Amino acid sequence: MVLRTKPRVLVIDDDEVARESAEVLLTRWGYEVTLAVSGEQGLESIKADPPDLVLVDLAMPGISGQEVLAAVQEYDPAIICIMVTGHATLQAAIDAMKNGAYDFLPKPFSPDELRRAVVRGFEHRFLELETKELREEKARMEANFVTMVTHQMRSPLSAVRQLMEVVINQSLGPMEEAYREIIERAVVRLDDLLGTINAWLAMSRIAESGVAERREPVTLASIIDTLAQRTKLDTDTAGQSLVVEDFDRDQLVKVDSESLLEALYNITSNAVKYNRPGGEVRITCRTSPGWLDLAISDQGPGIPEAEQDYIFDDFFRSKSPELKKKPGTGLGLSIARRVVRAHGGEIQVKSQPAEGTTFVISIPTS
Amino acid sequence: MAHILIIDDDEDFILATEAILKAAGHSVASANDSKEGLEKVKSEDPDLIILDIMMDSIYEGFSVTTTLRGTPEYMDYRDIPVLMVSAVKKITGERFDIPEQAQIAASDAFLDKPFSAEELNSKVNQLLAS
Repeated sequence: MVLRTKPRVLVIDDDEVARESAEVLLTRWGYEVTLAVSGEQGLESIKADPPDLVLVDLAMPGISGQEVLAAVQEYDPAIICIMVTGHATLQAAIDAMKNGAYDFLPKPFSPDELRRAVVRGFEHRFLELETKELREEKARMEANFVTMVTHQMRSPLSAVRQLMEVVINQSLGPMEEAYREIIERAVVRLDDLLGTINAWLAMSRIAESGVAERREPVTLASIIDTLAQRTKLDTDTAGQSLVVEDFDRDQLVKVDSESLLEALYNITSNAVKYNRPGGEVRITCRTSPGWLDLAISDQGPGIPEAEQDYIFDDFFRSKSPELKKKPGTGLGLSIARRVVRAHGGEIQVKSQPAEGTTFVISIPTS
Repeated sequence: MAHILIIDDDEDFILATEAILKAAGHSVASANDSKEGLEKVKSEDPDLIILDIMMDSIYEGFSVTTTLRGTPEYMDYRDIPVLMVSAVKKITGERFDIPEQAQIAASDAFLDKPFSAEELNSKVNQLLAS
């Protein structure tokens, strides 16, 4: 609850008598009262030190009560506005209520009438703030739900995998050869499952955290060098080669390095995974004013044309017998696209059967 | 061969890690939380500590290194190498990933759970050699 110990009321009225009598009454009832003699002064006071409730005269010279109401609505709609006027017309009342006023108090009003209006206004504000907090709490829970569930699954799975390691390592003595294949298959499935859970976590993190807000200028070299380093380990292991074409190393790009690298690595590791034996993975960067185009190519069998529209969908796996047998979560490319889009960019695929596949990532540099 | 203390709240992890370490010829003691872990540091005087980061609380493991490295009571044990392990590498909203935080918390090495016997043995040998 953001309310302070003493609830605060701002009284905006050009009539001195009205102002002061409101101050006396509200102070007596335990409110902290600030006074403003005009709409201008009132708005300044709201911005300098926002009150919980505003009691504002509708008809004032300069900025009118209606305008104050509109400004408060824009500034913080949770601040309660009660409109006061000497010339209570039905139309003025309707207009004020339509514009978000909480209540309408015709002059002259009795202390009781004022008190009822203010108390009701505060009850409403408490309720609004409470609802808002509950709403935010629920959103937080929902946003973290996937993360929470995946962690819950990850712990026991990790423990199982660790226990299996004892068997594979034959730490407790030699394993019957007949069981070896069974155990090894079980471990492959476990590792797949752990991979899927990790990919989920990566995805939920991207959904939960503000990738766009974390963008900051880094050199293109810092991104590409890290990517090349990680990819080189994979191409070496697979007996393939990695080629990084020359690029403008000092070019600045405004990115969230961590998530972008994850996205790019998803693509290069696919390139290695689906490449032809001994094939080449090529990384090319081209910059044009305001944009970076990054191409990652392999020399694999290519992606069937009919599937190219779907490869970025969550959990999509190729139906092609050749591609299907490679392990995968079906999330790598969808994560990549989320990250690239969070950067205000787009990702495209060009693929020719038997010639290879090229992914082109285009992102704004600033 | 070395005497190694495992501090982890997951009994199965202890069981598995212990088996791998024993197969490599080490002797092993274990504890289930940071408090018991710190007691065992004194009673077992291990050559190496394998410390889980997330136990009862998210960063419980860090309290072990803080005590170990920073209090006069543990003066004689402060140079024992610590290998931190965790099944979680990132926590949403945190500035640093867990391995980075482990570095800040004065671990000597970090391993992702689950780890292979090979990874474990090579880290352990590396730490014991230094």
